[in-house]
Amino acid sequence: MRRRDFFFGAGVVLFVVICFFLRGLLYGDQAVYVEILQDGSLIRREKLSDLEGQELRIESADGGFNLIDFQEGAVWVKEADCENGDCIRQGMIRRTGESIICLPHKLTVTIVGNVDSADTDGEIYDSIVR
Amino acid sequence: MTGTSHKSTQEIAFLGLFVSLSMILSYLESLIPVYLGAPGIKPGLANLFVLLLLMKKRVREAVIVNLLRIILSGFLFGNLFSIVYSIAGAALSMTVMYGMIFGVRLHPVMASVAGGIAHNLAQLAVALLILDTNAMLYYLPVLVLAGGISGVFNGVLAEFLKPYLRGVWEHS
Repeated sequence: MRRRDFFFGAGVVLFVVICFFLRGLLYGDQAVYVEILQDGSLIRREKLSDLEGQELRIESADGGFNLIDFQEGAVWVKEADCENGDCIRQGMIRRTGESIICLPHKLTVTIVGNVDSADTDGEIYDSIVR
Repeated sequence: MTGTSHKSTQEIAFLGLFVSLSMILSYLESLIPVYLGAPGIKPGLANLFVLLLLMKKRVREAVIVNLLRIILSGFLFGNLFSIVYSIAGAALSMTVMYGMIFGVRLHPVMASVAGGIAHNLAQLAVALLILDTNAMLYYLPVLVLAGGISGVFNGVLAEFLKPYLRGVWEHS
Protein backbone atom coordinates (compact mmCIF):
# COMPACT_ATOMS: atom_id res chain seq x y z
CA MET A 1 0.00 0.00 0.00
CA ARG A 2 1.46 3.30 -1.02
CA ARG A 3 0.39 6.86 -0.62
CA ARG A 4 -1.82 7.00 -3.65
CA ASP A 5 -3.61 3.88 -2.42
CA PHE A 6 -4.26 5.58 0.86
CA PHE A 7 -5.56 8.70 -0.86
CA PHE A 8 -7.76 6.67 -3.14
CA GLY A 9 -9.22 4.78 -0.18
CA ALA A 10 -9.81 7.98 1.74
CA GLY A 11 -11.44 9.50 -1.35
CA VAL A 12 -13.82 6.56 -1.65
CA VAL A 13 -14.81 6.81 2.01
CA LEU A 14 -15.40 10.55 1.65
CA PHE A 15 -17.45 10.00 -1.51
CA VAL A 16 -19.67 7.47 0.26
CA VAL A 17 -20.20 9.82 3.19
CA ILE A 18 -21.13 12.68 0.84
CA CYS A 19 -23.53 10.40 -1.07
CA PHE A 20 -25.31 9.39 2.12
CA PHE A 21 -25.44 12.99 3.24
CA LEU A 22 -26.93 14.16 -0.07
CA ARG A 23 -29.44 11.35 0.02
CA GLY A 24 -30.46 12.42 3.50
CA LEU A 25 -31.09 15.92 2.15
CA LEU A 26 -32.96 14.79 -0.95
CA TYR A 27 -34.96 11.81 0.26
CA GLY A 28 -34.82 11.85 4.04
CA ASP A 29 -38.12 13.56 4.66
CA GLN A 30 -40.11 11.92 1.92
CA ALA A 31 -42.01 9.69 4.27
CA VAL A 32 -44.71 8.71 1.90
CA TYR A 33 -45.94 5.23 2.69
CA VAL A 34 -46.53 3.28 5.84
CA GLU A 35 -46.17 -0.46 5.69
CA ILE A 36 -47.63 -2.61 8.41
CA LEU A 37 -46.41 -6.17 8.58
CA GLN A 38 -47.94 -8.83 10.78
CA ASP A 39 -46.10 -12.10 11.27
CA GLY A 40 -43.89 -11.25 8.31
CA SER A 41 -46.60 -10.52 5.77
CA LEU A 42 -47.71 -7.12 4.57
CA ILE A 43 -51.21 -6.39 5.81
CA ARG A 44 -51.50 -2.65 5.17
CA ARG A 45 -49.68 -0.29 2.86
CA GLU A 46 -51.08 3.20 3.01
CA LYS A 47 -50.11 6.68 2.01
CA LEU A 48 -49.11 8.48 5.15
CA SER A 49 -50.98 11.58 4.06
CA ASP A 50 -54.21 9.57 3.65
CA LEU A 51 -54.14 8.43 7.25
CA GLU A 52 -53.20 11.75 8.79
CA GLY A 53 -55.15 12.41 11.97
CA GLN A 54 -56.52 8.88 12.03
CA GLU A 55 -55.99 5.91 14.28
CA LEU A 56 -55.65 2.34 13.17
CA ARG A 57 -56.39 -0.59 15.43
CA ILE A 58 -54.52 -3.73 14.42
CA GLU A 59 -55.74 -6.94 16.01
CA SER A 60 -53.23 -9.70 16.45
CA ALA A 61 -53.85 -13.44 16.21
CA ASP A 62 -53.73 -13.95 19.99
CA GLY A 63 -56.48 -11.42 20.60
CA GLY A 64 -54.18 -8.52 21.42
CA PHE A 65 -54.13 -5.16 19.67
CA ASN A 66 -51.96 -2.18 18.79
CA LEU A 67 -53.47 1.23 18.30
CA ILE A 68 -51.43 3.16 15.76
CA ASP A 69 -51.81 6.91 15.68
CA PHE A 70 -51.03 8.80 12.47
CA GLN A 71 -50.05 12.41 12.75
CA GLU A 72 -48.66 14.93 10.33
CA GLY A 73 -45.64 13.15 8.93
CA ALA A 74 -45.23 10.90 11.94
CA VAL A 75 -46.48 7.61 13.28
CA TRP A 76 -46.51 6.08 16.72
CA VAL A 77 -48.16 3.31 18.67
CA LYS A 78 -50.50 5.04 21.06
CA GLU A 79 -51.85 2.06 22.87
CA ALA A 80 -51.21 -1.67 23.06
CA ASP A 81 -52.09 -4.51 25.38
CA CYS A 82 -48.74 -6.24 25.28
CA GLU A 83 -47.07 -6.80 28.65
CA ASN A 84 -43.97 -4.67 28.09
CA GLY A 85 -45.29 -1.78 26.02
CA ASP A 86 -42.02 -1.54 24.09
CA CYS A 87 -43.79 -0.46 20.93
CA ILE A 88 -45.22 2.57 22.70
CA ARG A 89 -41.88 3.47 24.18
CA GLN A 90 -40.22 3.39 20.73
CA GLY A 91 -41.99 6.68 20.15
CA MET A 92 -42.63 8.49 16.91
CA ILE A 93 -41.11 7.59 13.59
CA ARG A 94 -41.06 10.06 10.74
CA ARG A 95 -38.14 9.29 8.42
CA THR A 96 -37.95 6.80 5.62
CA GLY A 97 -36.61 3.48 6.81
CA GLU A 98 -37.57 3.93 10.45
CA SER A 99 -39.79 1.34 12.02
CA ILE A 100 -41.59 0.38 15.17
CA ILE A 101 -41.44 -3.24 16.19
CA CYS A 102 -43.82 -5.03 18.50
CA LEU A 103 -42.42 -8.46 19.26
CA PRO A 104 -45.30 -9.92 21.26
CA HIS A 105 -47.72 -9.24 18.41
CA LYS A 106 -45.17 -9.84 15.64
CA LEU A 107 -46.03 -6.45 14.22
CA THR A 108 -43.81 -3.96 12.44
CA VAL A 109 -44.73 -0.48 11.27
CA THR A 110 -42.28 0.95 8.74
CA ILE A 111 -42.10 4.20 6.86
CA VAL A 112 -41.02 3.69 3.27
CA GLY A 113 -40.25 6.34 0.67
CA ASN A 114 -41.99 6.63 -2.66
CA VAL A 115 -38.98 4.85 -4.12
CA ASP A 116 -40.66 1.55 -3.56
CA SER A 117 -43.72 2.50 -5.56
CA ALA A 118 -41.76 1.65 -8.71
CA ASP A 119 -41.74 -1.90 -7.39
CA THR A 120 -44.74 -2.83 -9.52
CA ASP A 121 -42.48 -3.86 -12.37
CA GLY A 122 -41.38 -7.01 -10.68
CA GLU A 123 -39.40 -8.59 -13.44
CA ILE A 124 -36.95 -5.77 -13.84
CA TYR A 125 -36.27 -5.70 -10.12
CA ASP A 126 -35.93 -9.45 -9.97
CA SER A 127 -33.27 -9.40 -12.59
CA ILE A 128 -31.17 -6.93 -10.63
CA VAL A 129 -31.41 -9.16 -7.62
CA ARG A 130 -29.86 -12.09 -9.43
CA MET B 1 4.84 -16.43 -24.02
CA THR B 2 2.41 -13.74 -25.11
CA GLY B 3 -1.36 -13.81 -24.97
CA THR B 4 -1.69 -14.64 -28.63
CA SER B 5 0.52 -17.72 -28.72
CA HIS B 6 -0.59 -21.25 -27.99
CA LYS B 7 -1.97 -21.91 -24.58
CA SER B 8 -0.62 -24.57 -22.34
CA THR B 9 -2.96 -27.39 -21.35
CA GLN B 10 -2.66 -26.21 -17.79
CA GLU B 11 -3.76 -22.72 -18.75
CA ILE B 12 -6.78 -24.00 -20.65
CA ALA B 13 -7.73 -26.19 -17.70
CA PHE B 14 -7.46 -23.24 -15.32
CA LEU B 15 -9.59 -21.02 -17.55
CA GLY B 16 -12.28 -23.73 -17.66
CA LEU B 17 -12.07 -24.00 -13.90
CA PHE B 18 -12.42 -20.24 -13.57
CA VAL B 19 -15.55 -20.19 -15.72
CA SER B 20 -17.20 -23.01 -13.81
CA LEU B 21 -16.22 -21.69 -10.38
CA SER B 22 -17.47 -18.21 -11.18
CA MET B 23 -20.75 -19.69 -12.49
CA ILE B 24 -21.24 -21.59 -9.25
CA LEU B 25 -20.49 -18.46 -7.22
CA SER B 26 -22.94 -16.42 -9.32
CA TYR B 27 -25.59 -19.04 -8.74
CA LEU B 28 -24.97 -19.22 -4.99
CA GLU B 29 -25.17 -15.44 -4.75
CA SER B 30 -28.51 -15.43 -6.55
CA LEU B 31 -29.84 -17.52 -3.65
CA ILE B 32 -28.92 -14.98 -0.96
CA PRO B 33 -32.19 -14.44 0.88
CA VAL B 34 -31.33 -11.37 2.94
CA TYR B 35 -32.09 -7.91 1.73
CA LEU B 36 -28.88 -5.91 2.08
CA GLY B 37 -30.20 -2.36 1.73
CA ALA B 38 -30.79 -2.18 -2.01
CA PRO B 39 -31.88 -4.58 -4.73
CA GLY B 40 -29.07 -6.64 -6.14
CA ILE B 41 -26.41 -6.26 -3.49
CA LYS B 42 -24.19 -9.30 -3.39
CA PRO B 43 -20.53 -10.12 -2.76
CA GLY B 44 -19.72 -10.47 -6.46
CA LEU B 45 -17.23 -13.22 -5.80
CA ALA B 46 -17.14 -14.25 -9.45
CA ASN B 47 -15.13 -11.12 -10.02
CA LEU B 48 -12.30 -12.76 -8.11
CA PHE B 49 -11.19 -14.70 -11.18
CA VAL B 50 -11.47 -11.70 -13.47
CA LEU B 51 -9.30 -9.74 -11.07
CA LEU B 52 -6.71 -12.54 -10.91
CA LEU B 53 -6.48 -12.63 -14.70
CA LEU B 54 -6.27 -8.84 -14.96
CA MET B 55 -3.50 -8.77 -12.36
CA LYS B 56 -1.57 -11.14 -14.62
CA LYS B 57 -2.36 -8.82 -17.54
CA ARG B 58 -4.43 -11.48 -19.24
CA VAL B 59 -7.09 -9.10 -20.54
CA ARG B 60 -8.44 -11.32 -23.32
CA GLU B 61 -8.79 -14.25 -20.95
CA ALA B 62 -10.48 -12.07 -18.35
CA VAL B 63 -13.02 -10.81 -20.88
CA ILE B 64 -13.76 -14.30 -22.18
CA VAL B 65 -14.14 -15.86 -18.72
CA ASN B 66 -16.41 -13.06 -17.57
CA LEU B 67 -18.52 -13.06 -20.73
CA LEU B 68 -18.95 -16.83 -20.65
CA ARG B 69 -19.91 -16.68 -17.00
CA ILE B 70 -22.49 -13.96 -17.61
CA ILE B 71 -24.08 -15.54 -20.66
CA LEU B 72 -24.12 -19.08 -19.27
CA SER B 73 -25.42 -18.24 -15.82
CA GLY B 74 -27.73 -15.64 -17.37
CA PHE B 75 -29.45 -18.30 -19.47
CA LEU B 76 -29.40 -20.86 -16.69
CA PHE B 77 -30.49 -18.83 -13.68
CA GLY B 78 -31.41 -15.38 -14.95
CA ASN B 79 -33.11 -13.68 -17.84
CA LEU B 80 -32.30 -11.26 -20.60
CA PHE B 81 -32.41 -8.32 -18.22
CA SER B 82 -29.92 -9.87 -15.88
CA ILE B 83 -27.54 -10.44 -18.79
CA VAL B 84 -27.79 -6.79 -19.86
CA TYR B 85 -27.19 -5.61 -16.30
CA SER B 86 -24.29 -7.96 -15.82
CA ILE B 87 -22.59 -7.04 -19.08
CA ALA B 88 -22.87 -3.32 -18.31
CA GLY B 89 -21.38 -3.85 -14.85
CA ALA B 90 -18.66 -6.18 -16.06
CA ALA B 91 -17.58 -3.96 -18.97
CA LEU B 92 -17.15 -0.87 -16.83
CA SER B 93 -15.61 -2.64 -13.85
CA MET B 94 -13.06 -4.49 -16.00
CA THR B 95 -12.08 -1.30 -17.81
CA VAL B 96 -11.74 0.60 -14.54
CA MET B 97 -9.78 -2.17 -12.82
CA TYR B 98 -7.39 -2.50 -15.74
CA GLY B 99 -6.84 1.25 -15.82
CA MET B 100 -6.31 1.39 -12.07
CA ILE B 101 -3.80 -1.46 -12.00
CA PHE B 102 -1.72 -0.57 -15.06
CA GLY B 103 -2.51 3.11 -15.63
CA VAL B 104 -2.89 4.71 -12.22
CA ARG B 105 -0.80 1.90 -10.69
CA LEU B 106 -2.97 1.44 -7.66
CA HIS B 107 -2.64 -1.52 -5.35
CA PRO B 108 -4.78 -4.42 -6.70
CA VAL B 109 -7.04 -4.26 -3.64
CA MET B 110 -7.76 -0.58 -4.33
CA ALA B 111 -8.24 -1.33 -8.02
CA SER B 112 -10.75 -3.97 -6.98
CA VAL B 113 -12.56 -1.40 -4.83
CA ALA B 114 -12.78 0.91 -7.85
CA GLY B 115 -14.01 -1.99 -9.96
CA GLY B 116 -16.70 -2.95 -7.48
CA ILE B 117 -18.00 0.60 -7.31
CA ALA B 118 -17.86 0.96 -11.11
CA HIS B 119 -19.80 -2.28 -11.47
CA ASN B 120 -22.62 -1.06 -9.26
CA LEU B 121 -22.70 2.40 -10.81
CA ALA B 122 -22.97 0.91 -14.31
CA GLN B 123 -25.85 -1.30 -13.21
CA LEU B 124 -27.53 1.65 -11.56
CA ALA B 125 -27.15 3.63 -14.79
CA VAL B 126 -28.80 0.82 -16.77
CA ALA B 127 -31.59 0.62 -14.19
CA LEU B 128 -32.15 4.37 -14.49
CA LEU B 129 -32.34 4.07 -18.29
CA ILE B 130 -34.69 1.08 -18.28
CA LEU B 131 -36.98 2.20 -15.47
CA ASP B 132 -36.92 5.80 -16.67
CA THR B 133 -37.24 7.12 -13.14
CA ASN B 134 -34.68 8.64 -10.85
CA ALA B 135 -36.19 6.81 -7.88
CA MET B 136 -33.36 4.29 -8.08
CA LEU B 137 -30.90 7.08 -7.29
CA TYR B 138 -32.03 6.62 -3.71
CA TYR B 139 -29.89 3.49 -3.63
CA LEU B 140 -26.73 5.13 -4.95
CA PRO B 141 -24.94 5.58 -1.61
CA VAL B 142 -25.67 2.02 -0.53
CA LEU B 143 -24.57 0.69 -3.90
CA VAL B 144 -21.29 2.62 -3.82
CA LEU B 145 -20.60 1.43 -0.29
CA ALA B 146 -21.48 -2.18 -1.12
CA GLY B 147 -19.36 -2.10 -4.28
CA GLY B 148 -16.40 -0.84 -2.27
CA ILE B 149 -16.77 -3.46 0.43
CA SER B 150 -17.10 -6.32 -2.03
CA GLY B 151 -14.09 -4.84 -3.84
CA VAL B 152 -11.96 -5.04 -0.70
CA PHE B 153 -13.14 -8.59 -0.16
CA ASN B 154 -12.36 -9.74 -3.70
CA GLY B 155 -9.07 -7.86 -3.81
CA VAL B 156 -7.77 -9.44 -0.62
CA LEU B 157 -8.88 -12.89 -1.78
CA ALA B 158 -7.20 -12.40 -5.15
CA GLU B 159 -3.96 -11.28 -3.50
CA PHE B 160 -4.13 -14.38 -1.35
CA LEU B 161 -4.73 -16.71 -4.29
CA LYS B 162 -2.25 -15.12 -6.67
CA PRO B 163 0.86 -17.04 -5.51
CA TYR B 164 -0.88 -20.36 -6.15
CA LEU B 165 -1.19 -19.51 -9.85
CA ARG B 166 2.49 -18.82 -10.30
CA GLY B 167 2.98 -21.98 -12.37
CA VAL B 168 0.18 -21.07 -14.77
CA TRP B 169 0.70 -17.41 -15.54
CA GLU B 170 4.32 -16.71 -14.78
CA HIS B 171 4.81 -13.48 -16.61
CA SER B 172 3.98 -10.00 -15.41
